[in-house]
This record gives sequence, structure tokens and C-alpha cells, in this order.
Amino acid sequence: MKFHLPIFTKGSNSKAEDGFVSKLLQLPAVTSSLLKVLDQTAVICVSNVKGEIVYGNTEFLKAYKQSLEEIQKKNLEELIFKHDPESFKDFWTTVSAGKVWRGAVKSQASGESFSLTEFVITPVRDDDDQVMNYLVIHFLLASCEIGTTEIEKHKEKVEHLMEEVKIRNLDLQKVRSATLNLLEDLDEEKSAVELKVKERTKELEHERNKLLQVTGNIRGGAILLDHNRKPLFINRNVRQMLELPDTLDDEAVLATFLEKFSDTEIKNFFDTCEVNQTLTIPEAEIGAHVFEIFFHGLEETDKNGDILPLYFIMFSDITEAKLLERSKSELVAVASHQLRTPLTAMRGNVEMLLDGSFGEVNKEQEDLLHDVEESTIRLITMVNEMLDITKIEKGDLELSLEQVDPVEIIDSILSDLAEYASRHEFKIEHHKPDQAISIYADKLRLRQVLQNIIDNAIKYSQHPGQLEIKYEVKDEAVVFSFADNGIGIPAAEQSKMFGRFYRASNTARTTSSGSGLGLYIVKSIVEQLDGSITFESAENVGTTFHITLPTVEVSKQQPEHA
Amino acid sequence: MLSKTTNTRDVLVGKKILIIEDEPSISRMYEKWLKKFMINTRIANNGALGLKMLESDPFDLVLLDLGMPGMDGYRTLSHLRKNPKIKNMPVVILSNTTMQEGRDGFDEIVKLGIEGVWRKYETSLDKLVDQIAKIISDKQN
Repeated sequence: MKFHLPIFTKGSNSKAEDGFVSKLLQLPAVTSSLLKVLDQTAVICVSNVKGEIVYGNTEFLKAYKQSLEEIQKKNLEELIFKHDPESFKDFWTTVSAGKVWRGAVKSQASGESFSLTEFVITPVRDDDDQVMNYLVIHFLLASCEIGTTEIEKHKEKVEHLMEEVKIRNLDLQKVRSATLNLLEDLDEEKSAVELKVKERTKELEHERNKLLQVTGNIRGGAILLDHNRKPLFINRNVRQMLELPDTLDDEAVLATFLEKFSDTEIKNFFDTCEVNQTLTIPEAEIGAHVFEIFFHGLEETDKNGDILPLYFIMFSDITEAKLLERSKSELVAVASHQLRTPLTAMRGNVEMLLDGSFGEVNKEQEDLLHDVEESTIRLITMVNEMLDITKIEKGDLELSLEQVDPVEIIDSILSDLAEYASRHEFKIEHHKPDQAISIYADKLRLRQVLQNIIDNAIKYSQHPGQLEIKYEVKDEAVVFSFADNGIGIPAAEQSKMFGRFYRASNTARTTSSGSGLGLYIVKSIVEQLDGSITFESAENVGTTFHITLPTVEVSKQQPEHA
Repeated sequence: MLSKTTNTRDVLVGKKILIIEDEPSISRMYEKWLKKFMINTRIANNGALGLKMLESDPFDLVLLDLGMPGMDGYRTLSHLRKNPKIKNMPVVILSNTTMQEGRDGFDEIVKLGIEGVWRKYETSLDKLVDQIAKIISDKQN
């Protein structure tokens, strides 16, 4: 059904209320009542096709605060469009094409009030479908009526807020500058720390260089490992000695080293070596080479304060030194044997001269000959000791073990010395044990040991000298004590007494001479017999030697030979 | 004290001893010393000569050095013990070693049979006379 609105022409109605409504009355009742509602609630005006306003309902007149007469002198553009010409710019194009124009327009009626209105402008056609009027309906979407005081209030609030923002801003600026200062301080501190780190790095580098120099100058190889057994440091000799290229990394060098010495005890050292302990492999034979290896246990404190082990390995190729030592031993052996023949002749001939069988010897000549004899015997002893040392060091000191009675041996030594002792007023007390003692030993070497200790007591005696020999028989051992009242051993030198070629400084006061090898040989023999030797001594008071040797049951049958 | 003469030593008078020793200073020394006890001595400076002399001349005892160039003491002794004419000859070995050192290598010599070892290097001559006297006297008895 086609719906037609009544057509208005300019000046056709003098009464707005009645004119529009009377036309509506001609419409069917429903439509008429709808229009009535629309007329009473919406803001409506009607223009002709030129846009001249011909009608405005009561709401319209109210909204524009104008009378009907006033609005009838104006057109749409003057009254409505002027508020927002931009929004209405496509109005004419739309309506002249016969279409409905819609648009939301913000209008400012008076003061601070404003409204947002949707305009629906519909072309109204006559029976011939010609556009006669434009029906302008205002739909108020929103209106805002704000009083000046409220604005002021808001303004104040805003100003207050602005003030606050300003203060906050100042605060922020303060914080910012403080932060900047802090950052600057941090920067300074950072540089200081960096400087310190640099210094420390330099120090460490210096230390490392020192270590490098020191270890570089060591003739052998030096390897430092951390607690994970990873190499911290390997000196340049290691690569040379293992014939490895300089470019090979430390880990590979270490692996090669450990592989090369895998047959030695070195692998166990990691577990057995204690801190500050040094374990040694004196001769590790690898192929044609002989190496000496030192394994030191060290420790370091890490940054957490934990104590971690470190391992320091030093090794050197001692092949040449060993060859030299061997030839030295051989030289000593050959030379010593060669010395024996002339010494034999010297000793024998002096003995014959002293005997007087080859002519009378006067007292002075006899003294001189005695000196020659004594010197010859001293030389003979020295040659013997040197040969013994050579054997001990080569590990060639062979012992022929048998069951021996030490008391008998000491008796025999003392009987040989009896004449000398009485001549020199040297008193020897031999406190023989109540029970028989049997030692499984080399008779001649044991005699050599006991003879040496007794000879020393006599050699370094103070007049009148004395020696007391005692036995302490224990379950499976016997302790011999030889207590003399001789010159003693200076306290500071006591630890060196069993060293090679060591003679206590106070022996110079005596007329006795010695090679300084005796006690070294004695200790070596005693230890080879599973025994031990100790002494206590006080200078000018005397020395007591204690020799402990394992005993065997006297009647017990011993194996033929050990 | 060195020149003490015991009855045992009397047996030495007129006895004949061969000294096989390459070192003249040593052999001469023994010769002189033994002469003092009326012992006749001859000297051979090597083993081969010594064996020859033993075969051609009667001796009461031999002092035999071990370390000699050419035929050494061990080989000389070995020949001597195999030679029926002289195999019972008393032999005292002259050794250059000490008692402590000198056991090694002596087993073979002892097996061949010897009357004694004389440590010429470290024992006084006086004792040698006693040793020789004892051997000769034992043999006579």
C-alpha cells in the first residue's frame, strides 16, 4: 500500500495544529493515530521543494523558540542547516534523486547546551508521484545541558588536577634526576670495579707468566690439574717430551701423558695423594727412556669457600742421568778394585817392616810406619764402603740369610777389640741376655753393622771412654742398645746422621777419621734385614744407638735360603 | 806380637809353596814373608805357567790368585783338579774381595775343592801363616 502524506503549500494553513492533523484525519484510523503520536512527540517541520519552511509543529516551534509566522519566513538552510552546513552538504543531491536523507547533526542551541540530533528528511509526493514537500523529522539522540557553575567546578577540578600533575611532574623530574645521579654513580662504581678487575687480571696474568717462566725453566714437564682432573696448565716441555705438536690442545696432551704412563702407579695417585704430599715414581721405564715422576697434592679455595684438590705433576727424562749413574757406579767399582792391589801391597809391606824381620826399626820409624799402616787401613775401609754404597744404590746388596746368634757376633767383635780397649782404657760392658737370641740375617753384614756401631763408640769417645751393650728381648724382636759416653752428636745435625758422606761437625775435634758412609750403610743393611735403627744423643754426654731386628724362635727350622 | 812363633808354625820349615799371582808387588811380598818362616817359594805370574811348574816340581801348597789375565784362577784350579798328578795339591785362593762381598761366585770354586780362601786385601799377613800351617799340619796328620 502506498502511503501518502498530506501536501502542504506555502500559506495554505494559518493554524499549524489543526491543518496537519485535519489532513491526517482523512487517513485510516491507525495511521492517523500513529501520526498523531509522531506530531506530539517528534520535532517536525515541512518545506516545499525550494526548502522554504511551510509548517512546523508545536515541538518544532518550541525547539527553535520561534513562532509559526517567524519560521514561515525562513528556509531550511537559514533555520536548520546553518548549524552544521557540512553535514547537510549532500542534502540536495540526495532528495532531488527522490531519496530519504539521513544525518546526525550536533547543534548548539544556547550557552553550553548542545544536542545531537538525527535528521530524517523525506520527500513527500503527490498523487502524481511528484515531490511536493520535504518532511523534516528531528530525532534527538542526545542532549547535554551543563550549567556554567558546573563547568567552573570541572574547570577547577581540572586545574587542581593540572596542578597535581605539575607537582607530580616535578616529583618525577626529581626522581629522574636522582635516578640519573644514581646511574652516574653506578657508572663510576662500575668503572672502579672494572679497573680493579683489570688490575687483578693483570696481576693474575703476571702470576701466570711467572709460573710459565718457572715451569718453563724446569727441565722436565709440569702439569697442573684441577679437581676434575682437567688441565689448568701444561708447560711447553710436556709437548716436547711427549713429541706432540705445539698446536695440540691441553686436554689431548694430558690424555697422551696419562696413556703413556698408564702402566705406572700414577693413575692411583689421584685417589691416594693427600694434600701437601708428594708421591714419587723414581724410575718409570717407558720404552728406552727412564722417567722420574713427582705427584704433588695441592688444594685451592674456590669462590664459594669450598676447598678443592689440585694435582701438580712434574716429570723428567732421567735416561741420561741413569746411564751416567750406571757408568759412575761401574767406574767406582772398577777403580775400587784396582785400588785394592796396591793397598794390599802397602799394608802387607808395612806390616813386614813393623815386624822387624827385615831390619831393626827404631821408635820414630815405628811411629811413622804405624801412621802409614793406619792410613792404609782407612783407605781400605773407604774403598769397601764405596763399593757397598754402589751395591746398595744399585739394589745389588745381596744378603745370604741364615739363623745367627748376635750375642756371639758381638762377643767375637769385642774379643778382637779387647787389646785395643785395654790399651786405651776403654771400658766395654756387655750385658748378655738371659735367653738365647736368634736372628735370621746375613752373618757377615750383621757383623759389619754391629762392628760399625761399636767402632764409632770407640772412635768418638771421650777419655776414659765406655760402652754399655744391652739387649731387650721382645716377643718377635730384639732391641740392641749401644750406649757410649762419647762426644755425642750436635742436636741440629742429628737428622742428617744417616745421610751419605755426613760427618758431624764435632768429629773434627777427634783424631778419628771417617768417610761419612758408615751409618748410611748400617741403616741400609738394617732395613734390608727388616729392622730399624734410631739413636738419641747429647753433645759431650754420649750417644745411644738402638737397633731393632726381628728374631726367630731358636729351635725353629728355617727355610734353606730366602 | 806379629812374630809370635807357635809349634804349629814349625811344620812350615822347609816346605815348598807355589805362588800363582800376576801382580809382582803382591807375589814378591808373600815370597819375602814366607821366607821368614823358612818356606821355599816359587812364583808363576799366570795360571798356565803355574800348572806347568806344578807338574814338573813337587809343592806342598799353592797360593792361587783368582783375577789373572789369560788363564784365571778358576780355570787353573779346574785343570789342576783334573790332572791326576797334582789333583790332591792343597790350594788356598788369594781373593781380592772382602768377606762380605766375596761369597758370590765362590760356590763353583768351592765345588772344585779348595783348602782355604785368603782375603789378601784385608787380613794381616800373620794370619796367613797360621792358615797355611794349619792346612799343612792337617794334611800331615
